[in-house]
Amino acid sequence: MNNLLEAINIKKYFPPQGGLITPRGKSVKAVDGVSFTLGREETLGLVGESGCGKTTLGRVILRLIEPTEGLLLFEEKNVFSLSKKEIRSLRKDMQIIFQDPFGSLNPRMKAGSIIEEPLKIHQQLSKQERQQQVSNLLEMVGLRAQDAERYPHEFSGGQRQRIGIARAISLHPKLIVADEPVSALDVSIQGQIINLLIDLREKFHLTYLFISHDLHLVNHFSDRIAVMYLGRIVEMSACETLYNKPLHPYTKALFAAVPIPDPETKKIRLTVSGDVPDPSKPPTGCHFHPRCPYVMPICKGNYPLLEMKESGHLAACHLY
Amino acid sequence: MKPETIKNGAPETPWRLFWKGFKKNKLAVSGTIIIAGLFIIAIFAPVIAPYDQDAIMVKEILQPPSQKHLMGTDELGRDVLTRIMWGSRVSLLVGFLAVGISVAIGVLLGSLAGYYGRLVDAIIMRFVDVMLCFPTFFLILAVIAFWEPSIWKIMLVIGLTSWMGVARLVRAEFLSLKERDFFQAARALGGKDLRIIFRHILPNSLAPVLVSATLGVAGAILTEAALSFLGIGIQPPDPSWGNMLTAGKDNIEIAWWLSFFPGFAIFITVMGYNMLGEGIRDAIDPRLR
Repeated sequence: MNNLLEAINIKKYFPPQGGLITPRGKSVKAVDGVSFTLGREETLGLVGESGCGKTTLGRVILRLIEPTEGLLLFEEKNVFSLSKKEIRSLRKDMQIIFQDPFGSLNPRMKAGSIIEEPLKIHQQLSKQERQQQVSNLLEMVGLRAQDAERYPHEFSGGQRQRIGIARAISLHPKLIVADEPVSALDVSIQGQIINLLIDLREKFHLTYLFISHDLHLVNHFSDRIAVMYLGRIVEMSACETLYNKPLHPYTKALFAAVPIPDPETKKIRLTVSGDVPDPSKPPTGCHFHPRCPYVMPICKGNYPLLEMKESGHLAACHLY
Repeated sequence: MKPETIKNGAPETPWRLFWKGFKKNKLAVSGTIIIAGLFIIAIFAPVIAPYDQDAIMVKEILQPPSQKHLMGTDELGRDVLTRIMWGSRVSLLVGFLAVGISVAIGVLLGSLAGYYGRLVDAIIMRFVDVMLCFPTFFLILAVIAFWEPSIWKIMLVIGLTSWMGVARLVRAEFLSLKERDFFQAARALGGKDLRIIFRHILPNSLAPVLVSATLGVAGAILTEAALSFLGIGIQPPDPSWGNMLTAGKDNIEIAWWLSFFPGFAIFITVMGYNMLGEGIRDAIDPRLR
């Protein structure tokens, strides 16, 4: 099976603040050498704490943010070397669903116009055909055709997210970057939206890059999981493998942090202390070593490479 | 899977929401009434003015306000009320066209600076800084000193020297809207720059421009009045509130009405625009909702 997307050593450094008067800081390495592949109709879950660079990575892949370095092959085309015009026509194949359903819709456009816009940009259709498509899309995401006449502020968060999803699938893209699509929603609505995304995946043969901080959700939704810490992927494998036998201490800690709704279960908790370090001053060696319960002398000196530890199970840790 | 319920009724357009807030605001409504009244007077001046604007009634010079002349007559025997009505045309014309010019330039340059950023932004904003260094009023004085004064030149000069505030405002709005996800979504959909600017960013940044433009009209009217007062604006015998004030100051000891009514007209107009501007600001301020 050839891959839909192949990311090789993607880096995004944000330039330092200050300069003239204040001392110039160090550049922030939001994404620091990330490589992965994404097969057709596969869903890769990307997990990590806030500020680990997962959103930046998602936007770099869509070239909403220009990368500092790296190679990104989308159907064998190098996305990062495309001109502004070429990237525009590539947009119909890759789309994004945003986290904040209140910020992602233009408050001065009707729901119908929001969904219609991509059709206007990329397809030559008559007005009737477009309106028909908008009605179909609205019904496909669980809204009513007459909702096209309403403005975003008249919808609830979940309904707005449905509009955002309808906009993203309107051009039948191959890849959708879902940037925490449900984390701003009520738990009861989350399930509906996730089910909608699963339905659409089957219907349109979508490939998802699913960004989230909720391990259980990602596990439920994805084929493979990549765990990110401070701009790098620290562990990547198929869901069951990662779920049953996490290797990296950070992944273990993430699982331990998820509450289990069973009072009988006594679990040995692996806790990490402290916050994610400042990404402009990452720790030497393994970025995780100041918080790692299994820290060894070597961890402070060398960054462990992301290696195949078991079949199909990659981890970046000196323990194995 | 059951979608959440959707409320029924007419769609709540952003304008309707604005109107709701606007109606509740006493300041805004009073301002609107004042300005609407002025517009009616200006448009229908030839019809409703009791006399001809240049009609000289030799027997009735410097008459105090009476039933025949509600605001009295001037030193040539012209009816003050009539001339104030005709003068309102000058004020409104100057106010609107000057602000129209300044908003057009300001929105264009502010959009370019805010959208493209970097070098474009640096060049435009330094130009704004340079323009702000000119004392506007003296620049106008200099221009008028070289060319024969006319209402069109005054409007042009006021417009060309007052767009910097609008440019800064629009640029700031663009910078903050560029951080919003719907801007990223528009880019992700492959929209061209012009489409993104005109469909997504500009409509969302116009509210503060509207406020600034309304307040700007008041400023432009004051500038015109001041220029006419100094004798380099509207030239007599054409009436403007400014040159009526000048004419009135010579007789201020014996005929107070010659200075009072034009001054009062300026005051009411400027206040009306300021009230409207502040009312709009309150109506669109989400924190006050």
